[in-house]
Amino acid sequence: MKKVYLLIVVVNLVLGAAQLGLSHRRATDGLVVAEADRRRSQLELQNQRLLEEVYLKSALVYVQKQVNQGQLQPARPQFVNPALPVAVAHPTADRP
Amino acid sequence: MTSRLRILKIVFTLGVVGIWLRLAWWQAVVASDLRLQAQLQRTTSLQLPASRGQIRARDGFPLVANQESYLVYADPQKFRADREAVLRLWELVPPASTSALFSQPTQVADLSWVPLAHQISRQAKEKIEQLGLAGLGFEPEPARMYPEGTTSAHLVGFVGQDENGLPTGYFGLEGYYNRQLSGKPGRVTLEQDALNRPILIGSQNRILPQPGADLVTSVDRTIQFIAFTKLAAALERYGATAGTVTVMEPSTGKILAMVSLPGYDPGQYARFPSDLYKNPVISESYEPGSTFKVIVMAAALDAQVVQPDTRCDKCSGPRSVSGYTIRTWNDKYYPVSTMTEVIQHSDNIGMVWVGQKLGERRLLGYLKKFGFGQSTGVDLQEESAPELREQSQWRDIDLATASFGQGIAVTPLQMVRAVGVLANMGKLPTPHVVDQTVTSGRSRPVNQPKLRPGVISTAAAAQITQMMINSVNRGEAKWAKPEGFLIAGKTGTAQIPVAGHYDQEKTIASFVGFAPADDPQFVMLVTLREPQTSPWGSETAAPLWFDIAKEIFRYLKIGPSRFD
Repeated sequence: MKKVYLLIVVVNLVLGAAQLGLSHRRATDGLVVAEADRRRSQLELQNQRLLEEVYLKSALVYVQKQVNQGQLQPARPQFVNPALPVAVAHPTADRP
Repeated sequence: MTSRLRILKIVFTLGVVGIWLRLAWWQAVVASDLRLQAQLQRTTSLQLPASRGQIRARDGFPLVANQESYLVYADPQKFRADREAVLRLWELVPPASTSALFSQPTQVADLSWVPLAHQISRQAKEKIEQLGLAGLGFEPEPARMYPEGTTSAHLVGFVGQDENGLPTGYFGLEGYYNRQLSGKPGRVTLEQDALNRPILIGSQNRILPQPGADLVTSVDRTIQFIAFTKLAAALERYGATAGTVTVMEPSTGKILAMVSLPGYDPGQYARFPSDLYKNPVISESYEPGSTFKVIVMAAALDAQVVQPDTRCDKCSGPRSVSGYTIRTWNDKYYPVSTMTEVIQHSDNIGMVWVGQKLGERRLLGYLKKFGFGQSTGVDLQEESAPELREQSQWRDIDLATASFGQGIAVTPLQMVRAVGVLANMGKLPTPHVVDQTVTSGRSRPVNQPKLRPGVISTAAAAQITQMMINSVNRGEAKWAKPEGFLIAGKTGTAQIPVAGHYDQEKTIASFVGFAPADDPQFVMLVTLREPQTSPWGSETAAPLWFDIAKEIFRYLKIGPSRFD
């Protein structure tokens, strides 16, 4: 019975010491977490700024502005009308 | 000695009882309040705002996104600035918002937080910071950015604030899909030390925010941009006060482009008059004029009261109906013209004849089937649908004028939808803008294409299409038509009703059509209000329609047809 009491006391002492040690070490980890949090926010903000720039510079409105500044000429497409099949274009060709 | 000991005992006993009572007071009576006070001292509870969803074009490019923005505020008790610095601040922050700080300092002296300006950009914030003014601060604030500028203002709407100061969408997609775009804010409760650093062994409770859903629309930003730039140029060229362009894919009802001018900047909506916020395409009714003739003719063909080659035997001159004289637009008359020629010449007399053959009961029935008198169901806020008069209220003159598109009100989108029936071989499409929502990377389709069959027969749709092709090739607007393309369309010039009569000077010019007519890829309606260079649709709206169509052909890689 004495051994059991002793064991309980020892276990409690070990657990208490472990908690104390852990708390002691973890208590200052808040600094690390705060720093990591700050860094994450910074990167998110940077990411957001880059995205904004990508959006603005790939918008058609911006492209049009650049085109005007560069005095580029709009494309002038030539549509080639496909020829009609002979039978449709000349329906009376085979007649006398 | 004994009495002194007794007194001491009593004193000690009273002392112990006092301490015991005090302990009992702290630990039993006010314990919960103290626990709460201690908890409040070391715990911080923050609301985590949910980011608002993007609105994207069909290629995934954002029409609306979020951007970095700030609220700039001042602490009047700490604010110090010399005259030069104040002048430089006024260049960045509107003087109106800082006036209380300088002109009535006594009114704000007791305050520690006076907001100066909202939605300040990062660049402006950095410039303000460089001024080095004491007592100024910044708070991050959600804001929307519009990479494509004002081209889609009416379509997307804007984000303002509700009565609680929370961001809320108004008009267009922002208004209609506000709940989905907003998401749900989260909340974090954590223990912090005196320097606001998190205590890791303390308790934490974190409910993550649910970001708003992104909307993927059917809007093609290239077609939207083409429509916007062409319409803006046309308003200037023709001296029109307003205009709209609506482009829809008839087989699905997907809106490819929707532009209304004059517009506004959704990023700075407060600087524009509020009557510009409503989208005229869905909320403004107009009398469609001659473009409506194709609807009435399609109904008559479906009811088989006429055929394309049926000849009008009362078209040789003006007609008198209920005491009113009806004339053609150019006072030219075409006796015994066929129905195809009636559409080609945009003959009011011929259409009155068709309308009378159809009768008001059948005409009204067809108009309802074409979707007039009811909302189109488009997923945009503030849609309104002008009502159709009851049959009992129709007089002979109403039937006559409705046959050529006067005395009846429609919205531009209703008109596009109705012409979509003709392009769709008789099926009524339901227009929509959003194709899918994307939440946390998972997409969910919405607004599956809905087609209501049986509005008119396939044969009647084919006949009216042929008549519209003929109208484009031989009608008043043939000079502007792009060579080689098969286009079905109709011009319209409607007088504007003002205070019970029609204004002779003011018209709404329009052109509606679809192309390629043998395999329609788009239905488009162009309207121009009060054009000054010419009142006629054939000389203003039609060239604009063809101009936009040419660009769409090139963009969608649609080649000319063999059978023009």
